[in-house]
Amino acid sequence: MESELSEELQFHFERQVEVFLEQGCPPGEARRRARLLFGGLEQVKEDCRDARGTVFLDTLWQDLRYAARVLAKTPGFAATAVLSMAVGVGSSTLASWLLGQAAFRSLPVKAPEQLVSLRSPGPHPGFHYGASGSDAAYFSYAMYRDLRDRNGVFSGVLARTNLPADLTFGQRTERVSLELVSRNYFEVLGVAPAAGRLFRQADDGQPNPPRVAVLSHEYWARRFARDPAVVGQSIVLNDLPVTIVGVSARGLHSLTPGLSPEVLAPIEIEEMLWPAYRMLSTRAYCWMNIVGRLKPGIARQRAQAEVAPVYRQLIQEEARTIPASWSGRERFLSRRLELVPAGRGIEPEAGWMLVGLSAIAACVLIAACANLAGLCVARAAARQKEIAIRAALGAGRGRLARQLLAEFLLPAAAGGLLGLLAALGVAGLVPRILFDEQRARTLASAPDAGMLLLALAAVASAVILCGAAPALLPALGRPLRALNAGNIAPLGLGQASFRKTLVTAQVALSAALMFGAFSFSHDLLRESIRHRGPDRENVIIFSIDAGAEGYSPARAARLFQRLEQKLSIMPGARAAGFSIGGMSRLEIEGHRLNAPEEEVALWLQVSPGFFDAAGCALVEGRGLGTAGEWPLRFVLVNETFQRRLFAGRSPVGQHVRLYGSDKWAEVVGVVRDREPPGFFSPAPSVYFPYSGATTVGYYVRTDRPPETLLSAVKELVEKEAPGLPPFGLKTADAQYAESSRSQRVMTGVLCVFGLLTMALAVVGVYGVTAYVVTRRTPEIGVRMALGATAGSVVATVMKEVVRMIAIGGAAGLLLPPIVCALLFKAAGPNWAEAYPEVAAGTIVVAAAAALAGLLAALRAARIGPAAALRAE
Amino acid sequence: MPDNRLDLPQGTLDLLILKTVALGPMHGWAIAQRIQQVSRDALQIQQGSLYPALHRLERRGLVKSEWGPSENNRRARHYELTAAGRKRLAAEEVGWERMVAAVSEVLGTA
Repeated sequence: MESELSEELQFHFERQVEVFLEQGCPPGEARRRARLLFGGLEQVKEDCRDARGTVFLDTLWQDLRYAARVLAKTPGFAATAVLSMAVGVGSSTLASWLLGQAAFRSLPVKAPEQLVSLRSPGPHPGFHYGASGSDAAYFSYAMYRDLRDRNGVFSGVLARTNLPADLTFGQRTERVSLELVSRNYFEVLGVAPAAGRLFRQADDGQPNPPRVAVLSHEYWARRFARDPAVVGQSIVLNDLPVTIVGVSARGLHSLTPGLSPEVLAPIEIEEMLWPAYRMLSTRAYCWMNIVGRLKPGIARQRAQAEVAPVYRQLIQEEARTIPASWSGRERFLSRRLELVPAGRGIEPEAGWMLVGLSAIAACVLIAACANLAGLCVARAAARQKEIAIRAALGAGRGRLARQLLAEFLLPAAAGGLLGLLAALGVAGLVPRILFDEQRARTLASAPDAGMLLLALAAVASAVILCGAAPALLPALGRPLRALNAGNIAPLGLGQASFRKTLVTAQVALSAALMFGAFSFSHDLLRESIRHRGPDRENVIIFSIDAGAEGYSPARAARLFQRLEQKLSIMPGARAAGFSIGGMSRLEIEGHRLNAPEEEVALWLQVSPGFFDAAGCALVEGRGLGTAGEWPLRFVLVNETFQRRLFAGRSPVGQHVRLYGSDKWAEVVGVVRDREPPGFFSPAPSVYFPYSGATTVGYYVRTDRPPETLLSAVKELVEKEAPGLPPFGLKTADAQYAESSRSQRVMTGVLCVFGLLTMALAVVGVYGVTAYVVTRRTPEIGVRMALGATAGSVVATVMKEVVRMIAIGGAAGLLLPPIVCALLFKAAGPNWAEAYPEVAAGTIVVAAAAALAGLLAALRAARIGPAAALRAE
Repeated sequence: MPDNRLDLPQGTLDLLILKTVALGPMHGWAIAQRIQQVSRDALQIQQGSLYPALHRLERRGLVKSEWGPSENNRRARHYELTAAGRKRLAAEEVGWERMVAAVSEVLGTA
């Protein structure tokens, strides 16, 4: 384009020269006259560009090239600007992308907006088993069947739940996450198999229920290398042989966010997989989520209104099976059914970690933008004279503003690109570092165009919010006055106070942003760490699932007791014991419990050796007997139970019972809390003697470093219980480290982000202060020419710098808490806790500013009056 | 340089260019020469304003350009009237004649 234009004009010019030559002009004269006749070549070119309408792009290109040249002259500034933008854009892009993946991604199913999940808050007199914290979304199988068959608003209703199971294929047995689904699951979701077929409502030629399984696409790829021949083969789930009929759709993990089950099987085979549990036929077992697909054209509210009477009737039918004495009866009867959108999964939650991470990343981005804007404004202010000259030579204000915008745009775009590349590089890695294995798998999709869009949005918002500041500067200035004033005199009161304000604002903003980052960190950490670190203890843990191998309760009990005895006398062991249990409803004699969460306790059946092995010493009362009986006669409770349910009073002699039991059990003692693995606080627990569960977890306390006994324990278990591999054999410390890993990593990430914000603040304040003081170099020269000593000049400058920093720091430290108090009342982020970090950070930032001012002042004082004046 | 040449009224350059290229494809230099020749040197167009005008006409789709060999075998950009340009030329010519007539009338009666 540009070269064609040159060629065209050159052609014309040369023809004109030829004409003059023919007329007898000497060559030099001919060229001169042709040039005169033609006018300014560049001006003509410019007019042609204008005429073509490409002027905007052309000048943008010019501006960018000019900006690149200007930036290349100050590589320190350029590198700082690009790197801080890269940090800001990279971290915010990655955090918001992960947040989007976790919370805002629709399920890969047909018309996900038609899916609703059913929830019913309120007490339920039975067992709850579920993956998520909220038990409002769990129903019994009987409830599922009734709701499925007695409504007119859904085109299909499915149920799902997940349980750990043993999967044997070839010679290898592994623990997998098994998703049990209703047989219409895939039909309701409307997904196609990746291989073979999926479950069908009517499975022909199969025994009832059909012994079939579907592999998840992820597991198929991971374990079977996408071998289509696996369809039709047999695997063993627990000890039930089932046939693999197909592979689920790619990208479909689970309707419950964060779960990534390996295998799916029809819900009806539950009783064959776990004969002892009988969850399928027990009305009191709330263990599955129900998801319905609304018929086309039926709104969610209308469907909810139409299902309500059906549900009320079901509740009343169910209430007939509940003893009249149950304290939660009225609240149970008042339970209502809610339909909530499930297009993004059942009760999708962003996850406080990701929300907090995104918020902090946004703080980092703002800090980076503010930095860049501050530096650009300082540069623009310092270049006032250059800008004035250019304005005087005819540059329009719009053009000058565009030029300054380009100088912001270039490092912002370069930094954004760098940040995006970094985010792309670590996108696959970060979920694996931050989250548990299953959730990481659901987030492990390849980075997509969305990430590019987020990075663009980050850069665009940076340019719009912060790029405008330096660009508006020439519009505010009065070029003539700036020219007249020169640089020697402090540039008028307005100019000087503008420069001071810049430093003050930068310091204040840094403090405010650090408040943001650090107080979010505190909120997150308080969520995750309610817990002191565990004392290092010599304990080995593992579990055994005899039920999965077909042991009867009596045979399992004999095995478990023999194993406990052998383990406790093996060399190096001090005690061994086992326990098993789950959360369940609770009643206390003479108490009417109101808050539903108070009615739940961890009910643990334990062997006699458990308390010694797990380290739960008796603190009050007496121990349990040995023989487990049903109904229970005596139980122990832990300290948390005493604190929460008896308000610290002695529970000894009081009576409690499990729902479903008609006899009260007496509390005979209190034992010390056992810290559960990870950062979870101990649950209120009730201990009663082992009474025949077929899956238990063992504790072996050792008198030496437990790592040295791991293989001995494994050998012993394999010898005593052939065919029953110990699962999760590890030291309690290792278990703790694993389950707290994501919290520990997050703590590290938060610290890094907080420090990043601080580092950016330091860089920004340093840069702005250095510029502001450097601008005074000529003034310092004059002062020294008039006889001021270097010391007194530096002292004068520093007095002003310190004042600017002090005002900024005070504003930054005082304003956010005041604003927050006004805005959020009590519910805001916790500013007070973050105060020490922010104060320390502000001191570091202030020190950096003071150092920048000092170095610039010293440099100015050292170069001598004459040179300083020439800097003009 | 004594100058008895006419200044071009605003907007007439476009008309002259269109009229000139209506004869057939020609390059910028030839267009300038032609206008000068036909007007017997009375109309000397500013060389500097010729090219922006050509580019403006091309953007409006009244002329189109193509690179080709010139009469002295160099590469030159040749401009050619488009259908839209031809229509525009006809309309402009009518308008111009009307205006000239009106102006002469005013001058004649003055």
